[in-house]
Amino acid sequence: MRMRSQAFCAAMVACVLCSVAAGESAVESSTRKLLEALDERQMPDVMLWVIEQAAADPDVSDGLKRELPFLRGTALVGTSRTESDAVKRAGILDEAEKSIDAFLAVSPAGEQAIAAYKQKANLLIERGRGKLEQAKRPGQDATAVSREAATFFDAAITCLKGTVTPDQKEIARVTNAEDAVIQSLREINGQIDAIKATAKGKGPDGVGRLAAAQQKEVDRLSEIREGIQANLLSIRVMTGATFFEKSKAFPPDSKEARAAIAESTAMFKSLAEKYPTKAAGLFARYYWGRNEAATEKYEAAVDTLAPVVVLDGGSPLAVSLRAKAVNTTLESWLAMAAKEQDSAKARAIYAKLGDDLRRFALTPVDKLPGRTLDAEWLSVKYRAAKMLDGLAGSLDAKERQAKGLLQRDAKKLATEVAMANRDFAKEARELAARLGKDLPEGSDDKDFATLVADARVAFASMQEKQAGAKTLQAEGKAAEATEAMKLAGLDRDTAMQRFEKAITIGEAEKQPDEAALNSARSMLTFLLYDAGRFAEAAAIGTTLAERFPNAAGSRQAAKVALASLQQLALQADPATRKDATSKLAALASVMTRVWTAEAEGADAFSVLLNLAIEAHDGPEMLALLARYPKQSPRRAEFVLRTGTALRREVQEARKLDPSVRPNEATIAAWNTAAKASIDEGLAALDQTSALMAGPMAKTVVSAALARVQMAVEDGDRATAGRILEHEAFGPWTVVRRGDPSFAQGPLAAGTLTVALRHFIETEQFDKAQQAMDALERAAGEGDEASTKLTAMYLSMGRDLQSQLESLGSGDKAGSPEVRERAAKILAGFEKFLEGVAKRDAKISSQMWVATTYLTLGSGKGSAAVVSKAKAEQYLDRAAEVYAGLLDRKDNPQMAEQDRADIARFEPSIRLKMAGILKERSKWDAAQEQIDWILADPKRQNTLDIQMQAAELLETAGRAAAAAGDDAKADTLLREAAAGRASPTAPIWGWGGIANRLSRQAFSASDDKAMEDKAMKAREQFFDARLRVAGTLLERAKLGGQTDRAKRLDTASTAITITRKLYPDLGGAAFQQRFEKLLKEIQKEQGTANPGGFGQVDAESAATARPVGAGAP
Amino acid sequence: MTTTTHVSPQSEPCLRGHGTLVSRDRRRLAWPWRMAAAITIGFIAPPLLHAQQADRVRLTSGIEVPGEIVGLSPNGVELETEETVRKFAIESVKEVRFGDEPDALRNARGLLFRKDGAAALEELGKIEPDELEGVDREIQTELAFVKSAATARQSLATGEGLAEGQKAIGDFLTAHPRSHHLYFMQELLGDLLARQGKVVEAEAAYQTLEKGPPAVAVRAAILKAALLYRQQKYAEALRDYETAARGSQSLPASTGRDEPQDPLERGIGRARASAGVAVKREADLGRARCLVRLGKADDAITIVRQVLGEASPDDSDGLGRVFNTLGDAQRTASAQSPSQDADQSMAHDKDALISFLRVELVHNAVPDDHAEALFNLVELWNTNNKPERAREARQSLETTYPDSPWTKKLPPAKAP
Repeated sequence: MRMRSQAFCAAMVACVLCSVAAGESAVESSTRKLLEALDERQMPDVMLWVIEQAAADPDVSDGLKRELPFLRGTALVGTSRTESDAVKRAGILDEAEKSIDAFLAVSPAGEQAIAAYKQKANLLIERGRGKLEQAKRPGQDATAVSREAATFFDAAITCLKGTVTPDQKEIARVTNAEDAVIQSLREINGQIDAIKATAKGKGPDGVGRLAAAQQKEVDRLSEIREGIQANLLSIRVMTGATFFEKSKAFPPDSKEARAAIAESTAMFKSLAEKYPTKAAGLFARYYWGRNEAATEKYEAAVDTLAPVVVLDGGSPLAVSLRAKAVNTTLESWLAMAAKEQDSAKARAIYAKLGDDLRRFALTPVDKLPGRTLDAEWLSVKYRAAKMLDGLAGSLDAKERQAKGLLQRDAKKLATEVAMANRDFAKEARELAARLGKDLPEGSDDKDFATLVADARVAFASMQEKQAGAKTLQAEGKAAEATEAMKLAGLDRDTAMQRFEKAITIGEAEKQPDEAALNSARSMLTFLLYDAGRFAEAAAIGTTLAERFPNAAGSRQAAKVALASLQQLALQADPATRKDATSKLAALASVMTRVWTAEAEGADAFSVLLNLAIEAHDGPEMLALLARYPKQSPRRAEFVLRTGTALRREVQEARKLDPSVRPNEATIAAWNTAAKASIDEGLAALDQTSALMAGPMAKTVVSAALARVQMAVEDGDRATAGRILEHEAFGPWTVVRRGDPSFAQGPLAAGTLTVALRHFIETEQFDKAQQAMDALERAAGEGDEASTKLTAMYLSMGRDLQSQLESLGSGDKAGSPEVRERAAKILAGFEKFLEGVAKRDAKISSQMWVATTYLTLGSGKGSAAVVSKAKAEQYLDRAAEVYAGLLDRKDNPQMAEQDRADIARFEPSIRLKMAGILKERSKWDAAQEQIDWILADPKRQNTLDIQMQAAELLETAGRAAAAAGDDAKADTLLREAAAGRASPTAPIWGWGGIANRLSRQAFSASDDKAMEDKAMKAREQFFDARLRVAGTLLERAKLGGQTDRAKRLDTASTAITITRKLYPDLGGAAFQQRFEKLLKEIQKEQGTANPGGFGQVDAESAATARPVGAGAP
Repeated sequence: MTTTTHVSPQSEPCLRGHGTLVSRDRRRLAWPWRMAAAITIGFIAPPLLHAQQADRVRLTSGIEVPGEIVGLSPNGVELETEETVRKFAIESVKEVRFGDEPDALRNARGLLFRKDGAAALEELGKIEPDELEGVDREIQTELAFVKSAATARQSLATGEGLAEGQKAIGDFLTAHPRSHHLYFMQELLGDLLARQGKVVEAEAAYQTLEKGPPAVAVRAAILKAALLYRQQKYAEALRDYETAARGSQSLPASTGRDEPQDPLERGIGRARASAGVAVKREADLGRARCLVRLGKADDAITIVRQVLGEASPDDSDGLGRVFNTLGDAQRTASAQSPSQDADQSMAHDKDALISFLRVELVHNAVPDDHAEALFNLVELWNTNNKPERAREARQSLETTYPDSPWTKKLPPAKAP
């Protein structure tokens, strides 16, 4: 931060100098001051807004606008510091570099340019250091990453180091900080010389005498020159330091490392010797000595550092520099002493720690510049203690007093370091103990920083062990891997405990370091998740997202919290599930708000979409769609998923009873949004020529399939064809490619059925045949294959029927163009079906032909586009094909397998035939089919068959009533309600069906599948109860019977009892149907204005009222 | 007051200028050398002059003129300099400083002009009794002025003790009906009455200003418009602000051309013009605030931008108010952006944040403006997903201005 502020301040000072001269406006002046204040407050993100605003402001002068790219670069460097994602951080720094370069391109020289070059070098150094850190991490290609680091350091050096030679008169082009400074110096020297050249007369010294004003100007310029010279030295120190950093990018003894250190040392040496008393010269000397110590030239290091070690000065900077030099000197002496075999020589080395240095090392904490023991001072004190201990050890018994004094100071220093409990704490504790002061382990009174540092060590150890376990697992050493994971778990627990303790201590501090606390909280969130403590992980992660969303680590913590809540939402306990789901939605909402256009926001949007899909919440899906940022890189994925989900909602909604179905406008809006979303998502991928890998591929193909289905429904053949056969994501293309994840399963079935429909409609019969063949392949082999295939054909038939219904019920129903369109569809199908029927004798093909004709003929809602005669023709054709199949069963010329297959399908074929015959009012023939099916005791308990049997009896009964055959009608309707007790083919009737369903319908279960089953059973139960009452009413209406009133009573009672037992009557839709029927019964009973349930309730209350209760 | 001896209670007053009473035994210092460096523009006079304890008139243009106060009245100040007796119209006078007044009194008056009543009272408390022994009556009056005005300003800031504040002003005005602070105090009285909902009385208090010089009379119109604004009669307030803005156009204005060479004359001319500029700006900012409330935030932004274009970079205090008005308009523009245009709304929000940050970090000397900016920042940081910064702004508002109405307007903080 310090470095950044210095760079920014330098920039601002230069800016302000320019601005004062320019006489700027109130807004400009305010903007500069604001930028300065924002830098001070460490708000680089807001600085970027201000810079952006100023850049777009027509009232801002060109002068300030020229400076903006540099200020922007500086602000970007600031924002990069809070970015924890290394890739993003690198991106920001790239942008910062470009911004600074853009500034330098137009302002390559001058004060601001110098500041800009330094800033650029700083950011390159930071990037290099980042790479060095990255190289240390497990799993990294250390050599390659280190080389990248070296490249950054080289770029920084290029940015700093000058190319102009002292004898070079002209500087044609400035490209680095040093040359920029030299140019400024030459300019200012020129100005000074020009003034001096105008001096009149000569003083006693022979030098021209200046007027007072001129002298003042010369003094002013000289002062500026001094500042620029200081800047030049600091640039050279920075260059030398960068060479030293560069050396770390290579193995220690490599040629490159040695060369870099040599270059660094040469630069420092030259500066130190040339400017021995200036601050830059002293710093250079320290770095020179540090370089020598780093290359184990300890004696040279000590000699080099000597002038800095004795530096006299009380300023914090001087004390700090001296401490650095003393530290390196002590390190060098200790290394020299350790190597020394000769004890006398070793003693002489220890003795070099004179009184002055001893006093310096013993400086109390409250006298130190920062009033704290930083790492440098801890090191100084510990090393001084070691030196004193070494010297004491070398003294003999005669020198007891001196020895005692040395040991006393050593002990004091060691105790100080041990008590600080940070760097060298362990070594210092041991030393103090050896010197007679046993210090307790500091673990109980560790401070926040120490505990966090300890926790991080445990965390790193855990990660290392986890990586090791992974390698072992890959090598097939499962047992060892398990053991390693167990050990990693122990490290994790240690890290967790330390973080928890650190956070407790940190939170209790008077001025908590929120940044460090949040970092610890973030780490703890991850560890808690890893340990399966999801609720705690979720709580901390949520707090970070809500209260500290801009802290480093909060994003990761929020993602961990999201994952934790998702885990909790899968738990068995319903209360936990409910609570977790609600928290999940809340956290995801926060995340979408806070990180709207970023990866975390995209994850959260995805979670919210999943919740909306699960809740069948169409409006929420639309709301999410509206909120999803347009610029998000994951928008295509989101819109495709949402579009597909909305399409499903539309389909589901259309299946609902009209009384509970959302209104048409809503459904239409969903449908439009679904299309628009999928179109948007696919358009974004339109130029791709290959399907992406991973889960996104399925999302894209599913969405494309949904869009094709919609286009086919709309008759938009062009769109359907274009998407279906798109070279990258076209479902037909993908399914045919043979990838197992697409060639089978629901996606393949959906694709092939819609493709079949499309190809038939567009009369591409070759492709239609290919689709049929592919469908058969997709169904697989074995017993279930044909069932699957039939299901797929049925599904396609239903889609076709639904399309025809939709054509027949839309705004343009009955219009010539709709009729023409329907006719075209039907003609296409007829042509194709007849072709298949004739040329393809396979059972599956014949089944498909029959099934499709059946679907086309039995569509009740498609009457507007399929005439009754045509429908009957289709039904008859279906029956013919089915009958043909049944005939083949007994045909000895047929293959054994085919005959066996047909025998297997016979019950379902007969059931379908029963349906067709019922549709065609051929009651007896239909009944024959049912009786045949029920003749097998195994099929007698099949609910679907029993329901169809009851349905047939009821329909036939109503037809007989309509035909005036009351007796037959009475019999059939009675059997429909009460069943037929035939020994060969027993029929349960609606009453029996309801009885058998009651247990399943009202059983409670937490299992979703069971609950779905129960719900379906409930619907069937109430429908059956309704039909019982309905048939009774119908029977009461028949002529020639004497117990009409009783039948009506029984019908009424059937409803009221059902209501009494099940007050909600299966929901609003059923309630309406029950009441409507009740009113019909009441009307038949003679009530002029039947009151339905109200009437029943009133009658019941009157009956229940005690005698006399009604009397006034 | 350039006296080196204390004024005795028996000193005989003399009548000068417009009938203002000024102590006679004020002594003059040697002028010839003093006048050589008398005019100091925009910075504090050399220490030597301080030692001489001259009276000073600080004009709104930033110029300070040393001399001896010889006349004070509601409409002007008379200052005797070496060459002549100069008359300064009250609207061009920013402050009258008396040579012998205690430093704490001077500081307190400065704080008062920055609307920080509490700090001004605290500063007054630092005056040692011996500092007031034998001082001129003008200084006693000045002390009474600062005390009563600071009491009133504090009650305005906190909303508490309004009646006491009103009484303090009333007492001062009764005792000093011809004070050069008359219009200032009448305005303050009006503000106190308005705060208590006494609209008619407040209007009457403001009416006194109508009798003043033209710029003061225009200010009266602005104050009345503000009264309407307070009553949420925005359309009427807008109409009156517009009338005031038109009225301000007839006031002297500096064109920047044909200005006198003499710095003093130039400074006086600029001060006269700046009074007109100030009332025009007040009227324009009033118009902008009304337009914001009337749903025309974009028009308001245009007006404030014009005001900014004409503003001086040196007027940091005034800029605080300007940027608050701009921020208010930008916030409203954000709320009024069509729901489908999230980008536009976000851009307005950012602009508003920057405007309020300018007040928080740069133009923060006027407590009321600073508090207003902090309040807005609390809300804007929250809506911009920076709860940490919202908490910081809240803490700053709560600790710096615990009694401010802006602090009281804050919703309760969420428990951590």
